[in-house]
Order: sequence, then structure tokens, then C-alpha cells
Amino acid sequence: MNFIEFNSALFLGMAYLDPGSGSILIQMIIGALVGAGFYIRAKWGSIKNIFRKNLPKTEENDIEDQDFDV
Amino acid sequence: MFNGQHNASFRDPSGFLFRQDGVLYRQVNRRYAAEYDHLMASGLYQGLEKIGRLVAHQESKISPFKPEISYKVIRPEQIPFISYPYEWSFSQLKEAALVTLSIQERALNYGMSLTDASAYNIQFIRGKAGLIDTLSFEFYEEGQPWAGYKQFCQHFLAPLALMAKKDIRLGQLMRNYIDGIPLDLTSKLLPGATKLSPGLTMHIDLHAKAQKKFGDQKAGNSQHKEISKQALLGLVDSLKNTIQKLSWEPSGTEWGSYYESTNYSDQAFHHKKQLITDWVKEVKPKQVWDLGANTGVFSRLASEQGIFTAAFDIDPAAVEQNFQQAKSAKEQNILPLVLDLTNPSPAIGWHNHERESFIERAPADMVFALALIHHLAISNNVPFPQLAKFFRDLGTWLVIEFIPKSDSQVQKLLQNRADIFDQHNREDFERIFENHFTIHKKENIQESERYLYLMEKR
Repeated sequence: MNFIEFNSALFLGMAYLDPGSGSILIQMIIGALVGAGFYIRAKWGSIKNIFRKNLPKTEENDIEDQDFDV
Repeated sequence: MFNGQHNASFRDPSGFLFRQDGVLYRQVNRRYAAEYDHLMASGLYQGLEKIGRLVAHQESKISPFKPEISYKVIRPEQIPFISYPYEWSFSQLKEAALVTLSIQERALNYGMSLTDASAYNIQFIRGKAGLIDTLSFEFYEEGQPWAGYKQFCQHFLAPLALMAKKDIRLGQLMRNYIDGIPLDLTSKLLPGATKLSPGLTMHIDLHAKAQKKFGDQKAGNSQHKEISKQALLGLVDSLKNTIQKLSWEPSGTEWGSYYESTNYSDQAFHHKKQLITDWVKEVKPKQVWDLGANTGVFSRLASEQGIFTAAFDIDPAAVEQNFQQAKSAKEQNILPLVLDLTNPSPAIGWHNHERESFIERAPADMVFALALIHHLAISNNVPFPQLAKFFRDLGTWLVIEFIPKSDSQVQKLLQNRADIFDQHNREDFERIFENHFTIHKKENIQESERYLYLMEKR
């Protein structure tokens, strides 16, 4: 069984919580509303990064605590 | 302290916590083997562990607690003090919320998703909020909704919104609702002006309405319950923005200006600090609890010696200030927490065993009760024998300050009531505490009528 097949067999994954039907529906609606804006902002951010110099991209600084915005 | 399977670890079939010979282990069950291996091999664990946002663990060779279903046993880093969301200040809960969302974002980019979003899965380790449930990750498949979304809104967004927009004390609702504050209740309690926040309107008001309308329906066929990865990342980002906009500024606090309005002279303050520092150095406790810690001035006399110190105070504003200070100085050994000593955190949840009461998390090696007992003895009418028993149950060593009736702070407490406190004198205090403690040291704080004692439990 490859990775994709394995996943498909377990669409509900390891979830042990009842996600709640109302909560599933509302997240689909909100996701549809905000998803496009998020996509555009994310793309715009990566375009801006192309023009930013002195920004070494290494495995080391790929994950920094600053990513966590806290 | 329990032995065997942990009382709060029974819901998730992926594994569970158990304690053996005083060490906490986590059994990873066979049904979770593929997820565990992916978490470890994909780099997701390493990245999060490196920045202190996922508890570190090592695989252990000890025998599993339930060998018939076991895949592996791991030994997570041991956490000195488990605290709960109803004991956190606003910024602590906010940090825990943002960390949960950032972990979910990162997990999605590694082909995984959080199975839940429980505030109880977050603990403060060396001053930083981090996930302690290593088995919270499931495989993510495009289209799959986030099973933890509802829980996230109830455990984090609802209390934060109520604390920021209505009243900081509403965070205490978490003590009543163990699975987070119901969204319909949150929606009712939030002021109307909240409708101007699209985030709160969507994730709380509309979410509550959807729950009511579709509560017992099947969530449609598989085609209709899909949510693209982009939409899911957008959802997480929207939650993040909503939470980042919530803020709370302590104002009108009971203690905010306590140190300025105190009746201490500089000399007395300095002498008190010196005595505490010396006694901590002498006793060398591994863990200190400072009760009535205010913003942590005296707690830091211990934490700055590298000793883990929990700094409890009833005032959420003082705890907030303490946490902000710890954050900005990147302090690792102090954990500020909100606690009402006259009604400390109870044991809650299933079988009254899921979340431990305050007293169940005792004993600490050393307890500070500085400028505290007159509040308990006079404002809350607790006689000295009961106070002595309480402190006896909390720790081995006790640093306690006695403040006589003639002190202006005590006079303030007595100004509008009858003085029924005949025993509030040094002789009775010592006699009664000696029933449970040996008094090793007794010092008059210079330029004051106050006395500081170092006592050890008999």
C-alpha cells in the first residue's frame, strides 16, 4: 500500500473527536470565503520575497520561532 | 501522584500516558504506528521540538503498559508543573492559541493535521507554550475538514473573546466547561459591538448558529464535506488574525500599584529580599510555589537561582504583568498563574480525575507566603489552625511572613468590621504553626513590625 492509498483508506484519519456537522459546514463556508484572499496574499508574499536580497534560505532558518507570531 | 495509566489519558485510541517508578511515559499504540513514523521521519517533530513548541521525547526500552496493542513507548521531557487554561492570564491563553494554530499550519505542510485542539494539550515549558501530546497528528488528505476546529473555537477563541471584549473574569468559565465554552453561550455574552469583527462573527456567532441548525444532521455526502487545502489554510489564517486582534490591557487592578502604595521602607524591602535569597540558597529547593506572588518580585529571588517557581496570584492583571515581564526577559524558570487561594482550582472532568485540583499537584519543596496570611486570616476569616494545616499540605519548607494588627495594611482590612481576631498575634501564630512545623529561623524585618519565618514540616 503506498502513501496515497493508505490515506484514502483512512479518510477520517485518527480523529477521535466528533467534529460536529455544523462545525464542518461552517468551516467549509468560511474556508471558501477566506481561502481566495489567503491564497493571493501568500502568493504576493512569495513574489515579494524573490526581490528581497540578503535572505538566506537554508534548512536551519526554515523554521524559526518568529513563524509562530507569538 | 498516580501510578499506572494517567487519569486524563483515555479518549484517544492512538496511545496513552502512564507512570512507572515516578517517570511519565507515553505508549504509542500499533494503530498509530504509521502516523508516528511519519511525524518522526518527515522532519515535523524535529522542527517543532527545536523551537520548543512540541515536547521533546526519547524512545524508551521499558515494557509497555499494554503490550498487546503497543507499538512503542516514548519518554517525554518531564514537566515540573501542569497548569490549566483557567489558571492562565490572557496572554498565556493567547500564546497557547497561536501556537496551536501555527502547529496546525506547519503540520498541513508536512501532510499531517491536528486531530484535536485542546487547550489542555498545551503546557508552558521553560516559559514557552508548547504541545505536549505527541500523538495529536493524523495524516492529512486534501479535502478533509479540520476535526479540531470546533474544539479550537471553544477552548481558545471563545474565552479569549469574552476576556477581551466583555470581562477578564469570564476566562473562569473554562473551569466549568471542560471542553471549552459553548459557542452559543459565548455569542450571547459578547457585546453587540463584536459584530464589527468579521472573525468573531464567523467563528463564533455564525458557527453557533450552524451548530444549532445542523447539530444532529449528517454532514452531507463525501463530495459536500470537502474543503480544499487552500481554504483550510485560509481558515487557520483567519483564526490567527482574529486572535491576534484580541487584546487586554490590565486596568483598575487591585494590586497593580501595590508596591508603590506599600508601607515598606526601602531598607525593609531590601532586608526581606536578602533573607529570602539566603534561605532559598540554604534549602536548595527544586520547586518553589509563591502564593500571592503579585507580579513576581519575590518569586524571582528563587527563579533567578535556576529554581522552577510557580507564581500564583488571584489578580489576573498581576499575573498578566508577571507573564509579560517573564516573556520580555525570556525567563525560563518562572510560571505565573491565576489562583484564588480561598477557592483553589478543583479536580474536574470525568470521575473528578481528569484535571487535578491545586492540592493534588502538591507538594512543592518550598512555599512562599509573603504578606499573605492577613488576607486569608482576616479578609477570609480562616483561623490559624486551618491555615497551618493548609500550608502543611502544600510543601516541605515554608517561608512565611507575619504581619501584626498594628500594621497599616492590616488596619485597612479591619477598618469597616469588628475585630474578632483575638489570635492574630505573633505568640499564637508561632504556637499554632509549631503543631505542624519546626521553626528554623525567625527574623524581624528591619524598620518594620513584620516577622519572616523559615519553617519545615514536621
